[in-house]
Amino acid sequence: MSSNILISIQKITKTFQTSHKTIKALKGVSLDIYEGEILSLLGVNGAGKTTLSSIISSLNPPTSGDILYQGTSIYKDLINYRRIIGFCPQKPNIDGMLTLEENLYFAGRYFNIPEAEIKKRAQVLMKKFNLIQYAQSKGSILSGGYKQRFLLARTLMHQPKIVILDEPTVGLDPHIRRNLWDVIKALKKDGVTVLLTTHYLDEAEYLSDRVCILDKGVIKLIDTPENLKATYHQDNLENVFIELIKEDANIDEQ
Amino acid sequence: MNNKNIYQTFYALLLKDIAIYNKRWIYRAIDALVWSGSSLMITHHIMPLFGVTDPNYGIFILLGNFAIWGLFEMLTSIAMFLGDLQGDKSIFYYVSLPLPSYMIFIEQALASAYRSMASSLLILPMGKLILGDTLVLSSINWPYFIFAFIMINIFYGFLTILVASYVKNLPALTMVRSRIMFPLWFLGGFQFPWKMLYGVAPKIALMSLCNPIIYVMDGIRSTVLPTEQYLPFWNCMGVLIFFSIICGYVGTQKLKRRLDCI
Repeated sequence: MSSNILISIQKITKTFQTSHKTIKALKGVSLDIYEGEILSLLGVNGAGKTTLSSIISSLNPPTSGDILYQGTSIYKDLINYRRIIGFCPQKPNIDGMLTLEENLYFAGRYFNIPEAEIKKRAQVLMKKFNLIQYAQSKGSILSGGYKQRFLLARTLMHQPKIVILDEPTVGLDPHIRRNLWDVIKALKKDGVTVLLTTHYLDEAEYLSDRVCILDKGVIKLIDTPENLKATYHQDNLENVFIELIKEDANIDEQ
Repeated sequence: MNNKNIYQTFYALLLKDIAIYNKRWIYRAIDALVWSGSSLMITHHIMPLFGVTDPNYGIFILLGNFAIWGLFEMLTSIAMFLGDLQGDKSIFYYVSLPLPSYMIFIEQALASAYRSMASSLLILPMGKLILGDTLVLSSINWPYFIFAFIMINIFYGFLTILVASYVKNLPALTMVRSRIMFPLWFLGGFQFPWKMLYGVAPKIALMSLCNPIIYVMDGIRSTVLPTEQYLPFWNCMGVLIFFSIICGYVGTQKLKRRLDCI
């Protein structure tokens, strides 16, 4: 992990208006993402982690606040910012009528990569993610684990600087989860910055350089897994998380 | 990033949708043929037995079928859009691509236009087979006919995104059929030219000028049948361009709000 800040999130708020009430999903979140790190966003349901990752992915605008990429607001040149991010959604939204190879080719074309380069990259990624045998198969026939691998491959087609993974291992068998962890670790080795949204604390502990725990739209803690375990005298991140929830419950009772 | 890159991304998205549709084109083309063919058989072979003697009536209905098919395809496109929103949400993948979000919705409109154009392509040759010598292909003003065909389907494409922006979910789609599609169709001059309606019910005819399907029907029919019976071609096309812009603008704004895009 380098000390260079890649993305700086500054006082981000997000409010949703429903017909009955106003929901403040994020209440002034500030955080820096360093080049080459794996940062995990953790939190219970409704903590705001998916909202934050969607805003960083530029899918949704914040209600207030700013995101700086290399010191400049991303909203000044959103289109260029989108070229350096790779968003990997939770739902496997593969075009089921196209083959995996066609899906990858189009993913390259969206980013204006020359055709020869697209074919080369698609081959490399399909090899890397063990997808070669499915190259001519339609996306709709793949199992959950392979769909997730494919989504990662598609995300990497344009060689983004930061990959945003939204709960990539939800619903997968344990051995497939482990396999995907290795894939995510390998991204870091390739110098890719990873922002991981997850429910799984073992996953966050295994993969992350730092974890950011969100609660009710604010950052509760942000540190390395080792420091958090030391601070809370626990041997794993799950126990740290449970400690934090207990603390919260005590504060609420008082 | 310059505009050329943005247009290339837009073009790649459109090519992707075309490639997907082409794989199942034949099924929709057959749907169009079954619907249009059965209606034409009745019009051309049965209606004369009831005293309908106008030799152009078959051509009149054929052109109506040809022009209205896109309105039916609108339902398919809206269902695809809503199905995606309720399912895999691939729209959010496209929103993360390097182009402004409004262009994604315009691309969806043009993809929808392509789908309705492609699926209705076989209606005309089939009409020629059924109508035989009644339909003289050399009497068609082809440049105008092709222009009208493209313009009509572009209008349907933008109407699709406008309607899609308002429909909440898939079950609500039945309301689109009964409350939007059928009134537009039956009050849109499918069974009679606007001028004929004006001759018998001028007030209703004037009110129906607000219905864009009037211009769809008269526009395409005026390229084949005697022009004096129909609204002027370029007026029809002008109004369709106007409706397309309105539908496109309101639809993209509403979809941006609905999906909370930047």
